[in-house]
Amino acid sequence: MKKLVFILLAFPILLVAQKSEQFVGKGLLSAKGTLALGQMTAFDETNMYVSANSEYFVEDNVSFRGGFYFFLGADHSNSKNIFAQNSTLFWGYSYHFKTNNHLDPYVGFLPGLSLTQLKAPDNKTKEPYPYNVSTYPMTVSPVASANIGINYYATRFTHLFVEATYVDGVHLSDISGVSLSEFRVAFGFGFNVWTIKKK
Amino acid sequence: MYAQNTLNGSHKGELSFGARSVGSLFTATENAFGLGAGGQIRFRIDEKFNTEWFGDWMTTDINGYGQRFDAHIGESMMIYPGKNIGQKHTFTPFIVGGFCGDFTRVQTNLIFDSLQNDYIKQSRDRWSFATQLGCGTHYNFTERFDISFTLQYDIHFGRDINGHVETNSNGEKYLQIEQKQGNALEGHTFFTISLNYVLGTFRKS
Repeated sequence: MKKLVFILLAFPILLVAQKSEQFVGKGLLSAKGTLALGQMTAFDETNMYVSANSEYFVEDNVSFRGGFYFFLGADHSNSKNIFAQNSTLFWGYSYHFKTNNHLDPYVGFLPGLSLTQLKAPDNKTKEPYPYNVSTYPMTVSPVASANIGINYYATRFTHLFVEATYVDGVHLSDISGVSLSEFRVAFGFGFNVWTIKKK
Repeated sequence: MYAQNTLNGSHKGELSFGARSVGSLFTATENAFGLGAGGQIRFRIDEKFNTEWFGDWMTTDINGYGQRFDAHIGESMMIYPGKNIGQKHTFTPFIVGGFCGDFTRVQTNLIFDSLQNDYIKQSRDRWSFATQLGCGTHYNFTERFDISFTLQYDIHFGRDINGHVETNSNGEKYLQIEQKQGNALEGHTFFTISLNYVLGTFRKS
């Protein structure tokens, strides 16, 4: 049993050790979809998302990426649910640090647009001004984001990843602006394919 | 490696695409900070002369009393005074200047109008032209991929529009939007951070 546990734990390391060159490179196209969590920094709210993105390596260490976070709602164990909508569309580049194996650490900078809406109270008339008069409109808010993460290209067609993203912006409507500042974390697996023959 | 693919190692004729975030301090609306997102295309006419074609969408919370929305679309010229241009792991400083067309909307939060006996929003908008001048630098991670930082001062020419926080007789603060007849100047400090990648080179040998 101990031997089996050791083999399972050491399996990724053994895979890495077998390779002596960087796996990722120009022409690699990858896509992933997963669930993501977001912790807002201005107030105690945990958001849930479906996150998906696709990236193409324009050269060995640079990829262009586009994707979205679709807002599923806030964690209902928390009574302070601020947003009814907080989905984000983003685009940008990532820089991938050179490695000699199938690991792929990276940093990225991703401007984007968030579709945002505050959650209307159940009984507006009981709320103080201005929450009792707001129409709670849905608006488009520009955001800036930066991320850091690591991919592990386990096979020629699949990879695992973990990623942390910081998003900053402000939701504007017909009442005071509300911060969109948030840390988002996502992990899971994705698919990848070579669009050009790897040298 | 890339230099081997360029003509005589020159960057002339390069076409690049970039994603950018923008920030601005608008003096006419309480010096409020605005944040935006956009993109740009650069076409390098000569080794030391680049052009940048950009578009941005920016929103500003006017200190909790109103909002400002700005759309920019324009073009800038970039001049590189230094010797080392676009080389890997080096900074390439530049001087930048240009013009753009802008749409601006300033609106209040919901405020009580005693005449209508209801909560209303006031809104004003305008189209304007602007000219900008500033400086910045690229840092090249590779010969084709850079991060750029730019700080510019924009002057807008168009109908006067501004917002000031006032206090009413009940002691409540609100945003008062003013739009006077005739044209006026409005200046704002504007900075961008962008990542750019050279898609290809378009020039004759």
